[in-house]
Amino acid sequence: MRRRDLLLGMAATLASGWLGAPAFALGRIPVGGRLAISLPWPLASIDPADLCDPTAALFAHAIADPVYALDAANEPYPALALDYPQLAGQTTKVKLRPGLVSARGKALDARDLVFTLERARRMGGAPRLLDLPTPTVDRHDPLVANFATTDREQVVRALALPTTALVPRGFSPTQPDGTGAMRAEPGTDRLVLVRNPNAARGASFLDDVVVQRAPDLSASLRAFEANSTDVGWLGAGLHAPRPQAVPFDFGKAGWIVLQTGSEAGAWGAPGVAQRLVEALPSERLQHLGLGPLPVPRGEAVWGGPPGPLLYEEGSAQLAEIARTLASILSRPGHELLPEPLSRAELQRKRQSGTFLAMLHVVRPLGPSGLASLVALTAAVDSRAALDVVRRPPRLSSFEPRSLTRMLRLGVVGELRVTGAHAAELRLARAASGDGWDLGASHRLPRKGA
Amino acid sequence: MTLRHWLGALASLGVLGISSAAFADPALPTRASAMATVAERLSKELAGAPPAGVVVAAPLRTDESAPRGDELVVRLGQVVGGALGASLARPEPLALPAARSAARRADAFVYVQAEVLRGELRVSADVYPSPQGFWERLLRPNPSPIRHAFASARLDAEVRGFLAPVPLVMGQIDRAKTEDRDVVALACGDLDADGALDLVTLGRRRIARGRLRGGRFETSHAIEWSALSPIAPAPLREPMAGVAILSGTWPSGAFVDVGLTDRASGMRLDRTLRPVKPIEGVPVSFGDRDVCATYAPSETTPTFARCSQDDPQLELAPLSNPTDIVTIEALTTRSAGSLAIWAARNPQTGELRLVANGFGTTIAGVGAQVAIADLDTDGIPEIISSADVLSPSEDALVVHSWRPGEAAQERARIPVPQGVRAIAVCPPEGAGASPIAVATAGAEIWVVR
Repeated sequence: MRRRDLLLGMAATLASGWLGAPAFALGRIPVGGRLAISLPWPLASIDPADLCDPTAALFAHAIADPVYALDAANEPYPALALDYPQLAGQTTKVKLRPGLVSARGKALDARDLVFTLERARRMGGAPRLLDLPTPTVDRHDPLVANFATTDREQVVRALALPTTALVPRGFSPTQPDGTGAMRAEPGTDRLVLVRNPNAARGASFLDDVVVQRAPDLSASLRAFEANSTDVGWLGAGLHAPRPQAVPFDFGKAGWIVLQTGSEAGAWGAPGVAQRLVEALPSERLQHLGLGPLPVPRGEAVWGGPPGPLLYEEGSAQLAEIARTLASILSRPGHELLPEPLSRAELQRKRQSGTFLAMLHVVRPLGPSGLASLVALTAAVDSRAALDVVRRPPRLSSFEPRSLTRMLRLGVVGELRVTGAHAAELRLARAASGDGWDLGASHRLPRKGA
Repeated sequence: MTLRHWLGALASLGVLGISSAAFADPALPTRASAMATVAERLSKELAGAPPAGVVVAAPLRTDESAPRGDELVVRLGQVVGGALGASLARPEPLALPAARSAARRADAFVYVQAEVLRGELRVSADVYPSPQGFWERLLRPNPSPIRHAFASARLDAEVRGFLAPVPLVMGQIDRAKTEDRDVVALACGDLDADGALDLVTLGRRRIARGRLRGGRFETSHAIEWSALSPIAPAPLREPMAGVAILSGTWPSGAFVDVGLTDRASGMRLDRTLRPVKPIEGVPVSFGDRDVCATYAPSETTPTFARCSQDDPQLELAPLSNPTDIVTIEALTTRSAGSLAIWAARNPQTGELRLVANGFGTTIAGVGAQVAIADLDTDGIPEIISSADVLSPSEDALVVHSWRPGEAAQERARIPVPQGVRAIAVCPPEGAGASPIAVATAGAEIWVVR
């Protein structure tokens, strides 16, 4: 998009400010109630800046907001910023809305924005930041962050990434904080999201969302079928669909990828992982909730050295996928052995590249298209992702599986937000079209209560 | 406040869930009757005129049937006479020559000419000297008036009692397109006291004043929210909004109070929508004035206070039951009394609790848009609302009549398949019922007559 187009787009949307949601009338959406859910994903921490955090893929939208958001046409509009960045000489100034307070009661200013961006840069999940000078806090206005660049579009696009969502200084993934609709209280087996009255874009309709960690894929379905929870993950019941359950499919919250490392030798070369996963027989993966799967082609055989197929502990869905992949790909002398590791250890190995194979999640960095390539590339190498941002390749297709043919990872499928929910619940789809929006979800009013 | 009113207020508060012990002197909305309003304004304008011993009314001029027109003007003459301190009001309407003759013994007399035109009671009062003595009567038999005054007021139940009754038939719908697609509140009134009705639309981006012409909402004045107030640090996800027209007189005209929970503060605007001063909260009509409701994301009920520090003090205790919409209105009864009605909607049940004169009732299935008015000026309030549905296609404009002490009766239900976004009742503008203005989710304004 040309800069002029961007500016015109911004001018058109400026008046709307942070407004994204429509105004409802009729009966007002009822406030209150609880959503109970059982998920086969880890719940111990949420880090919006972590590109490969599956918990953030599912819940970061509810706890933190980007400074600029994207509308349905992929045009940015101010969400936590007061307005569009102002140019002063060679400096681009971004001013935050006054009065922003985090869910845990911390007043937010430009120091928090500088902290957020520095952290996101360090985590490697925001390649666009690598091309931006480090911002500084304005000496005259604590709400203003100064960027030593005249490229306002670049600043806005960097601040519209989900991985640069504003978090307060001292942010901790185990005590996450932000301006989102809910406050998160993570735990090993249970995550509670509580309505955030300080929410900068509106508190959630629900009082809270209680997420229990499911030990396996069937536990979530069993709980839903037994009316213990409100959402069935990947289905409407284990043995039989729950009566009056409402099916939903809100698209992907991320990709589930197989990444190869240096210990794979020649089998860790770019494109190998994608060739392997494209050969997987789809009928053996259908039950794993991976979204649409391609027609298999090639031979699904691991020829690299035997060793662990790593995945994050506490992730029953990844464990199930890892077991399935290992059973399909392993051959005598070339066994892949599923092995859970802590998130920190996985991160360390991913950054060093010293592993054999790893199954993990990559979050989208924007609407489908170039952003998909940037995200998948950044999961392997954020510098390479920066090259993609600087010199976007001319591709005939941005289908993720074709994008990864030059990367050391292959897209196994999607982390798809799909299943069924109770009839008295209204789950909201994310404004971007992919994933859910728990802040906008609500329970139907109890007539005559 | 009379004891009866006071006891009525206490009982009303109890039914609504308000603790009566919370305050000693509950405020009641009041609305002066049309005759009292006219008489007060005439007396103000005629202040300093020679004392008039007699008030004589002229025969009524009207554009609608007035079977008791003579009684009306005589009663009006008595009220005006009382306000002016006149000792006598003639018991029959007289033409001016006959009035001169009838008042010849007084030094001066006031000749009151009333007309009922386009829903207004328009009254002029002329002070005539009575020639004293033979020569004066011979030389100046028909002296010109020495003072003139004019006042008008919209018809109310007291005046309507002298005219032909109005059938509550709402068969005509005028639709007009509006460029504001996000209207969340609406008001209707005579902003510049020129006799013609204006509509004020409050959207999430701007406030507009205009009239319906040729199937379009023709904007005469508009102002962007961004020019009035910054975005609220913690707005509601689903906004609450209010517009209240504070009646005024020529030449200053009316003021318009606007409030929207998206914004940090509301604003009092003049009749051309220029900012006058900030107000705190969402304005809610309160008889002749307004109060402001403040909605906190963490609270289930709003709190009330005067909108501006310059407004008269007002004590309203908090509601104890979950409440989102509160409407408070005062109507003139046939006996010229003021009937205060309180309405509070429980968002969890969709029930609207109504209280007046110590009587209470409940209407089920009420949506988030509620207005109270005396549509047919019979002294019995009508409750106009949207339906408690979450699908626009099921929405409707619903009219109930409620005589305190009895059950509310549904009088009309008009489907609004685009969904109702806002409702306002216009003052009477002719021989029919008061028009109802509806902003729909389809960027239309309907005027239902």
